[in-house]
Amino acid sequence: MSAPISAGHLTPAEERIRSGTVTVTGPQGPPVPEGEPVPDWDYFTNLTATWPLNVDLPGVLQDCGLSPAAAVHCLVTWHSSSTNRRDNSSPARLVDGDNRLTVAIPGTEIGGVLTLTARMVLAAPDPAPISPLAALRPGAILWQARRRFTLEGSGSRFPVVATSFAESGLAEGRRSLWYLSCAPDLDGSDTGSIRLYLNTDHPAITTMLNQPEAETSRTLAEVLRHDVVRQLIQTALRCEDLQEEHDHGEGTLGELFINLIRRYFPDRSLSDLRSQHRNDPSELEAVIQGLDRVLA
Amino acid sequence: MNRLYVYPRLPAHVAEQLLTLHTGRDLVELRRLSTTADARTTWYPTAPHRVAEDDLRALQQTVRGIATEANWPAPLSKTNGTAFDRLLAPALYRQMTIVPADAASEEVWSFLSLVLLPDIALWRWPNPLRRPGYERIIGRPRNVFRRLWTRVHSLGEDLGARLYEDEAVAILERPTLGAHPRVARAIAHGHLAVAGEAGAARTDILRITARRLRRLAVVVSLESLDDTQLAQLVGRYTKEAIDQLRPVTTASTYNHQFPTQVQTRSGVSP
Amino acid sequence: MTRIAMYAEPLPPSGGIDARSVRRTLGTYSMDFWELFLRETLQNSWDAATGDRPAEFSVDGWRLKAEQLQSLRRLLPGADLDTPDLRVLTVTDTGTSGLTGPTRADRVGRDDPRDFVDLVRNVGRHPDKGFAGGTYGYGKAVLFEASNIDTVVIFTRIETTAGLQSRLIGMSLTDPYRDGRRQYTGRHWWGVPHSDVGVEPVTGPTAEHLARAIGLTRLPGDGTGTSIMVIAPRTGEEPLSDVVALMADTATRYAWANTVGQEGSPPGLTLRFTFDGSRIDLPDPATDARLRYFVEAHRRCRSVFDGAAGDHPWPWVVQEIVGTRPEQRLGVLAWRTYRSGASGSHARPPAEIALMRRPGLVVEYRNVTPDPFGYAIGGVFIADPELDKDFARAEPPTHDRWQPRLAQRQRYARNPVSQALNRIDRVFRERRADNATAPTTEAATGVSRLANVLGTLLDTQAGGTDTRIPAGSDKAAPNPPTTPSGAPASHTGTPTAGNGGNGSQQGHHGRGPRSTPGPALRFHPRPRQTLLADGSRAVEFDIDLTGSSGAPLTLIAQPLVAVADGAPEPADETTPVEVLHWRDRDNGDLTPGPRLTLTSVTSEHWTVTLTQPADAAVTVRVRQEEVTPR
Repeated sequence: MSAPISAGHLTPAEERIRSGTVTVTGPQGPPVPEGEPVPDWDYFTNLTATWPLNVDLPGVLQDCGLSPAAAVHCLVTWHSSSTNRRDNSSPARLVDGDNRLTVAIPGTEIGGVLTLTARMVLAAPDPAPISPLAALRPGAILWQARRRFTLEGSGSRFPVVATSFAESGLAEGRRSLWYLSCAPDLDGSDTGSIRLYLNTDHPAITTMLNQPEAETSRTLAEVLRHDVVRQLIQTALRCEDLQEEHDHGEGTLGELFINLIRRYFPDRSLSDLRSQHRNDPSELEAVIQGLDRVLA
Repeated sequence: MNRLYVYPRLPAHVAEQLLTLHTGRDLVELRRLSTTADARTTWYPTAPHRVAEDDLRALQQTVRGIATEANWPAPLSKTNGTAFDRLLAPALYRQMTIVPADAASEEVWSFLSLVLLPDIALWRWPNPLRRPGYERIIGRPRNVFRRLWTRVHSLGEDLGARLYEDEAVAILERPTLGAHPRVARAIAHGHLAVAGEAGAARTDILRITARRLRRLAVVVSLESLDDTQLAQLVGRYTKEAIDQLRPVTTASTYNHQFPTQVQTRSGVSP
Repeated sequence: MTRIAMYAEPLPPSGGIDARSVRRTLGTYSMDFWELFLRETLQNSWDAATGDRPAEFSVDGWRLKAEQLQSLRRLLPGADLDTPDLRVLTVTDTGTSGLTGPTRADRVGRDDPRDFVDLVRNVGRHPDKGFAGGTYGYGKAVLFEASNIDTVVIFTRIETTAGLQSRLIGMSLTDPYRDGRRQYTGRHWWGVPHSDVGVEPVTGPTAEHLARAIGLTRLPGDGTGTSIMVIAPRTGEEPLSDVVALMADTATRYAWANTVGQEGSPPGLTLRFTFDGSRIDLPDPATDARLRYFVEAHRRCRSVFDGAAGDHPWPWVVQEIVGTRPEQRLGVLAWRTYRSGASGSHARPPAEIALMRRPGLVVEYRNVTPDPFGYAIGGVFIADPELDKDFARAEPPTHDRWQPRLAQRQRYARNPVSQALNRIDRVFRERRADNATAPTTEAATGVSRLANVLGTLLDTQAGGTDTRIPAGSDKAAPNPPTTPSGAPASHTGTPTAGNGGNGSQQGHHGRGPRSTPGPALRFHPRPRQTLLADGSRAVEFDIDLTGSSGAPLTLIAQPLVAVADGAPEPADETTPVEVLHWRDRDNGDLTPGPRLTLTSVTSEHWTVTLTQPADAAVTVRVRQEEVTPR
C-alpha cells in the first residue's frame, strides 16, 4: 500500500528547494495564503497565483546528476476541480536563489477547488549529464509541490448584480440606489425568484462596490442589507398563501420566507405578524430595525 | 471579449423527478411541454448577464432545426446519432456563449435537457431502461449536450468534429489529457495526423496512445512541452501504437542479467 | 287598449331590501363609468348568446322624436320625462336567448331559467349568485346608474313552447322614500297591473307595438333577444355621441376575440354602434395596428389548446404556463415584440398581455415589464379551460381583473390564479437588466462580497455564523501522497515527492488475502535509481518486515505503473516492467523473480528490484501468500 513511486531519474533533495507562502490574489483583495478559502471569489473574479521559490540551483543540478549547463525550467500549473480545466504559466528558466512563479487564472474557467502545482522540469536534454541516471526527456519532472485553495464553500450567495439602471431601464432608468426584484411565487426557487440590482449610475453604489472597506461603504452596505431584510419580510407577509406549518419544499421561496420570519420572529405566529403588518406597518418596520440591529 | 452568459439551473431533485416524468413520453408531447423558464430554477448568484429567454428560444430553434434535418421525431440510428452530434456540437457551442465555469454545473445541463429541449434530449438518448439518474439526460459530464459543448470547448470545432465519439472520450475524460486545451488539441491533432486513415482501428490506437501518455505524464510535464515537442511525442506514440496492434510475429523477450550495480543513489539519506 | 300603470313597491311589514343596496354594489370601479357600462352589458349579452347562431350587440343613442316621447310617456306614467330633448341609449343583443323563465320571482320551476326574474324582480340581491352570466346583479345596478332618472325600459323576446313571446316592462330604482305614512323601497315597475306582484310585463302584440313606438326596433321580427333602453343617460358634460363612440372603442378593445372569425367559422359576435341613426365605424381587429397582435396571439393560444404542434416563428413566443403542486397547465401565453409605430406621446411603448378565459372577453390588459430594447409587447394569456372555474371565481363583479384572493379555495391549496399571474409577470421581468454593460472587475468583487453578506439570509439555519467556511476540510496538502494505490487523481503523479510517503504504514495490501496474520511491510520513502549492467535503468524499493510470526510465507511483488489521473495499473505490454529479484539487505543474498519465501530464519530487511521503463513511473505491490505444505 505504501510503496513509493519511482520516476526513473534522479531528483533533488527536498532541502534544496524552499517554497515561500503560496498565495492567490483577486483584483481587490489581499493575497490569500494557501489552505484558506478565497473570500468573495466568483466567476467574474480573475485571480493571480504567486509561488515564491528559493532554490539552491547548483545543489539541485548536482542531486539530479545534471551538468551546470543543463536548462531547468520552472512553471506553475493550475487545475480547477469543477471545470476540470488546467493551464500553466510559461516555463521560466530556474535561477539560483529567489524565483517567483506567477500565473493569471481567468475566473470564468474555474470553480470548486483550485490546485496549484509548482514544477521544475528539464527544459532540454542535458548535453553532458554527470550521472547516467539523470533525467533525459524534455519536460521530465525533477521536483513538484502542490497547494490547494477552496474557491467555493458551502455558504449561500444572494443573487446580486451591478448594472446601470439608465441602460437597462430598471426603475424607469432613474438614479436609484438599488432594486430588490422579487416574484412572490412561493413554489419558485428562492434564488431564482429574487435578485438585487445595484445601480452603478449612483456614485454611492460604485463607491460601495469599489471600496468596500470605506466607512461610508460599510454603512451603506449595512443599510442595504437591512432594506433587503425588511422588503423580504414585508413581501412574505403579503403572500396570502404563505403558511408556516406547510412544507414549502427545499430551496423554494416559501421556505426562504418562513425561515427568515422564524429567524426574526421565533415566537410569533404568521397571522399575528400579518395583522400587525396590516394595522401598523410602520411599527413593524421599526421592530425589524431593532431586531436587525441596524448600525448598532 | 464576447459577453458570456450564465444559464438557469435545475436543482438535482427536480431534474430527477422530471426525468422520471419525461422518460417514455411522446416526443411531440415533450416538445409541447418544453419551456424556456421554470420557476424552480436558480442562477449563479452574482452573474452580470443571465441568458435571456429570447436567446433560449433561439437556441431551441437552432437545435430543433438540426434535429429536423435528422428526421426528428423518427428514431435515430447510431450512425445518424453521431452525425447529429457532429452538426449540433459547433452550433450549440457558438450559440450558448456560456460562462465556462457555469457550464461545469450539472444543473445547467439538466435544465437544457429536461426543460428547454426534452424533445431532443430524449430523442437522442431515450433512456430505454428508465434509469432514474440517466447520465445522458441528467447534467453529468456525459450529458447529451454537455459532452458536445465540452468537446468543442477543449478541442475546438474542427478537431472536435473529426474525432469519433470514443476518441473524444479517451482524451476528454482523462484530466491529464483533456483538461489542458493546448495539450488536448495536440493529442487530437497528432493522432489524426498519423492515424487519421486507420478507420475503425483509430479508437484502439488512441486508447494505447492515451494510456502511454497518462503514464508518461507522471514523469514528464506535458504542459511544459512546446507544440513541436508535443506533436513529435504524440506522433511517435501513435506510430508505436499502430505497430503494437499489428499481428505479432516475434515475441519480444526481456532477458535481463542480474544487476551489477554501477551506481546507486538516493536523494535522502536513510 | 291595455292599461299600463306604475307600481311603487311599499316596504313589506317584514322589512326588505331597499333599492339603494343595488347601487351600493357598484362600489368603486376603476374604469370610466361608460366603459364599465359597456363591459357589463356586453358581458351579459355574450353570456346570453345561444352559441347556435351569431349574436349581435348593438348600442344606439339618439334624441327621442316627439311621437316616441309621447309613446314613452304612455308607457311610463308618472315618470319624470319632461326634460327637453330627451335622449335615450339602448343596448340590444339579438341572436341571444332573451330574458327567459317565469316573470314572477316566487314561481320556481325545476330547471327554469331565471333570467327575467333575476334582472327584473330580484333587483337588490347581492350579486354573487354564480359565475356564468350570473353577476347581472352588478350589471343591473349599472343600468340604473346610467340613467339620470334611474329609469330603464326592458323589452325582450323569447322562445317558449308556445312560440315567441314578447315582454315589455319599465323599471326605476330610486332611493327609498316615504309618502304619507308609508315607506317605499324605491323599486318601481311599469306594466299591466296585477294583484299579486303589482305589475306584470306587457306582452304580445301590445308589447311589440309599444316597443316599436318608443324606438326599440333593433330586435328583428322573428328573433329572440333583449333591448334595454336607458332613459336620459347620465353623460355629464360629454355629448352622448362621444359616449357612444367611447363605448364602440371599448367594445372593440375587449371583444375582438369574439368579433373576428376563427378559422373558417364566422365571428360569434357582431358589434353595431349608432348615434342618431348613423353608424360609427369600428376598426377591424385583424388589421388594426395594435389589435392585430392580440388577435394573432389569441389564434396561437387556441391552436395550443386544440393540440396543434404549431410552429411559432420568431418573434412569436408561445408557451404553456405550468403551475406546481399540482403540476398542471394553468394556461397558454402567446406574445411577441413589435416596433410600436405610433406611440408618439407615450413615454414607453405598450407592454400588455390580454388576460382571457375561453371563450370570452378580455378580462384585463395586464401591464408587464416593458421590453428592454424599446419594442412594444403584445400578447394573450388564455386560462386553461380545465381551470375555468378558478379563474372565473377570481373575477370581481366588475370582471375587470383577476384577484387571486377570490380564487383561494382553501388554506394551503396552491392558487392557480396567483401562480399564473406571477409566472406571466416573471416571463417579462427577466427579459431586462441583462443588457447593460458588465461592471468592472473591481466592482465584481464588491458584488460577490455583498452577495456573501446577504447570503446569510438564504441559509436555512437561523443565526448562522460564518457561512463562508467551506464544506469539508480542504486544508492544503503541502505534498501529495506517494501512495501508489487508491489515491485520487489530482494527487498522484508525483515521482519525487520527497518526504511524502513518510513511512510506516501497517497492514496488508488491499487485494491480497487478508486472513494471514503475516508481517507488516514498511517501504522506505524513496526508491533508488540504479543502472543495470547493460546500461538500462532499474529501481530498488527497500522494505522492512515487522511482526513476522515465523510461519512460512511467500511475498509476491507485482510491478505497477503509475498513471497521472488514476490508480496505478499493473504493468502490461505497453509499459513492460519486470521484477528482477529480492535482495536480503543483511547478507546480500539474491532471490530472482517476484516471489520470495520467508521462513523463521530469514531477514527482516529486503530490497526488491524492478526494471524501470523510460517513459513511466513504476511502483510495486507486495502480496503475501501462505505457503501450503505439500
